[in-house]
Amino acid sequence: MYQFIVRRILLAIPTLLVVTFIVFSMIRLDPESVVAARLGEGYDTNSPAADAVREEYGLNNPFYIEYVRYLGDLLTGDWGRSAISFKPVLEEMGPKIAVTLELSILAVIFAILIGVPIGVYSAMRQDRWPDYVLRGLAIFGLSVPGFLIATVVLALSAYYLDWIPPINYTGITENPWSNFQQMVLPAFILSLATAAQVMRYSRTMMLDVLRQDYIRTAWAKGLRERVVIFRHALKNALLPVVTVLGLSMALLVGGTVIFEGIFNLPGLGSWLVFSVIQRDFAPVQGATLFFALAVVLINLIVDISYTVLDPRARR
Amino acid sequence: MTSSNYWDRWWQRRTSRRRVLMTGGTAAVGAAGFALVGCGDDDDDDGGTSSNGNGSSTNTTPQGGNTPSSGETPRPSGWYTYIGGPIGGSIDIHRTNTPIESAGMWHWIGNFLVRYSVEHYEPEPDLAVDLPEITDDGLTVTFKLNPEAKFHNRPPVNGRKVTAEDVKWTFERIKSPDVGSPRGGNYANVESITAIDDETVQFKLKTPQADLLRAMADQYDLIIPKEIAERGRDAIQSVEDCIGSGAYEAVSYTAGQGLEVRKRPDGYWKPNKAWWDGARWTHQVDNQQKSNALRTGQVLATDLPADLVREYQGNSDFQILFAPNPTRECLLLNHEKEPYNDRRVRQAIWRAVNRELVYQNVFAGGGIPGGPMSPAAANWVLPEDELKKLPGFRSREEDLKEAKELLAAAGYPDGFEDTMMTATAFSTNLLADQLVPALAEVGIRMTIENVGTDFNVMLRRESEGSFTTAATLFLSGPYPDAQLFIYHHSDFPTTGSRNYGRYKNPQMDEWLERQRTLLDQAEREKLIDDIQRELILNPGPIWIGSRIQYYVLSAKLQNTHSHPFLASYDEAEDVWLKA
Repeated sequence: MYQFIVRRILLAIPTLLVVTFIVFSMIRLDPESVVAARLGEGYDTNSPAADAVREEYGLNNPFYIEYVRYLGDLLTGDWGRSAISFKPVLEEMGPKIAVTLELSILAVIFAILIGVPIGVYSAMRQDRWPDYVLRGLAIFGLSVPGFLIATVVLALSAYYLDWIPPINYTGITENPWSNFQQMVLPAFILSLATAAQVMRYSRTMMLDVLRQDYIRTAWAKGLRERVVIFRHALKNALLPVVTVLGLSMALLVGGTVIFEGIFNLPGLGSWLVFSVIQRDFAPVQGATLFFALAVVLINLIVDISYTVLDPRARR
Repeated sequence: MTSSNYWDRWWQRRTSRRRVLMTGGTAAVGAAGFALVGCGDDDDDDGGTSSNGNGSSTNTTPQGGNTPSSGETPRPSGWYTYIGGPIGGSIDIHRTNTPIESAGMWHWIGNFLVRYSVEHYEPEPDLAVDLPEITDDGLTVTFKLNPEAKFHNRPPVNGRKVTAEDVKWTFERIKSPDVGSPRGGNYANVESITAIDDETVQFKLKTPQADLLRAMADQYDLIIPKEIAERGRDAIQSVEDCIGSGAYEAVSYTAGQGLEVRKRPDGYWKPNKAWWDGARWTHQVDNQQKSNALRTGQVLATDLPADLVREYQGNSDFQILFAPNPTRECLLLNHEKEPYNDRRVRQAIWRAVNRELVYQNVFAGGGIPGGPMSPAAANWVLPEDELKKLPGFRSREEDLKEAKELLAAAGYPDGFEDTMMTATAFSTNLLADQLVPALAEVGIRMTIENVGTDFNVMLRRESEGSFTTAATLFLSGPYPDAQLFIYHHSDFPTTGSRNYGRYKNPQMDEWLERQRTLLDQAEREKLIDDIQRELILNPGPIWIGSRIQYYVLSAKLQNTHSHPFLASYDEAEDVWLKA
């Protein structure tokens, strides 16, 4: 297990290097645009102010020098400084990571609470009308974009219920109730696509497990349905679902951008988009690197958890 | 309900009251609405009528804003809340171009030397006791400061008086090439700034500058302490550096999220002003979400596009204010490239673009066709009656016929092909979608080249001249130097700093330089009119007009005013919440 973890971590390093290189390169494909972004309409490309912006961003230096400098800074814990807020990127990122993680974790919890029971029930009622209805709902959850659902729900809620989640973020430690009010709706809507996936996987795996000999034996012994399902079948059916949830979590962390914008949540995704628009290089690099780290880490956790849950996978 | 607001009187002169708030596809030249109080006033209830240039009836009783009923007095009002955006990246008022930082925060925490009046939209004193004394044939401009004015009681100024040194250092900073303020060029004509004594500051000019006060009143040039200004380019990096003399103090600012100000504990030096405990702006660029927040009472005010504003018509819980947006839509032509170096081709294009259709289709009727000066510069723009007789504003048939004749005379009887640059930002791509078919009517076949969602990419290519045509927009102050001089003077990129099309007309250069120095208002207005006519007849950029900026506010807000330029000091000082 220890060797497995070390090997996976070492393999992650080239992945992260590639990510940093791509991000570092992409935002420098059009370096003069950052000058235009900083100085605005009517800027003079030959002015001292334009020169100062180029100096600030290292645009006059060769690419490889700036990249190596950037990697060196990363290794010393210096993720750069925002050219807008002038604060260190890591310092700004912390609270925003918390918001994004909170949203993602809540979404995963909702996905489990919705997807697993529905998937199990659907499997138990295979080819009967509850199964058809629930599968249809799953298709809906997968095919309709979450941001569309969010926009419609918010508009209808504002019109008919005279309520929308609070527009100003409150941390969970400041005011848990206000925080819950703000988070529950976006987390729920965000979870729908994942819940649909979980539902379909749960159903498929449950059907597969229910056809196993040991389950047939359980039925033959006269055990009640509840015992057969929850004591014998469920834990085996959910093993692949853990993998799906883990991968979904990785996608959710990076996919909260639109929801953070719609629901006014000061998370990492909205900060990343804002920084891209403002041509603020350091936060773009920092946020992207964090997302890459998160995906690598979550995949690692998923793999480890799978070996823990399924003894067969350890061999 | 009545209002003496300037914009309401201007709208009354221009359009019929019946054309209120975009009646869904009604084609109307200069269609706009009025500032409505959602109390269900009927068109026929008020006063007498008179006809405007359109020949339709217009009720002469001004309407607009929410003027207090008799007996209503200002009162402490709690928190002012607004949702909108973007709340951009720069907190430095002298370097930013984003309105929310300027209007949203600095107009509440700071003061101008002179600022625009929301009543008559010309400069009025703010920190200055009165308008300046102008002597030496316009070369010396001397201000006396209000001795009561004081900065916030925060380090490094600790509540001291505002002095002439602060004014001097502020404008020196704005002028400095190192700081790179977009408004630096406004003061290139200032030879020196001298603090004569604590309360007297004197500007010496190289030549008379008729728009000096208007430039100073522009939304960004607020007075900051000398101790902050002398730090140079990176003087204002955090909320702690945002020190002003306004009624409120900056509390927090997070780009892309929000900002907050709070009433200064030591009291505002202007008596009987500033009724809020504080103000909070929440960043949001999604219009539906802004509407949701307003509708559910989480904010008191927001700005919305015309189609969403319609939903609030007739709702007595809200009031709607509007005025021309200071941005101007434009089809930029590169005069250094064929065939745009031929005046006849430019004249043809000026006639061929369908300005009315742009605002009908792109902005749901919420816009005003305009020429070289935008409708926001109401004191200067050519009267609508005259405009309607000029090319580009006459009947479509007449303009198209002439356009084809001009193209044929220029050697393009069957038109020509070219590309139109645009970006998916600020609706410029939607503008391009309207311009292409309009030009096709005269045989000019354009292919759209969309540079993406980053407007700055297009801006840079405009600056470099690497385009032939561009569907774009510009933000301009409401006065001639800001709208005519820098966009049409041939000395690009210095004097004509935004003449991206490289328009060259020696006669125009002479007129533009002369109008700058004319202190006689009547004489200057006449020359400005001549300049506008010339630019319509011999176009540089193809000006389309201005969209309308709509604000929807809670009906409880009292003493509100429409203003086309961000003047949030009005909300800060003179607006309160009804009991």
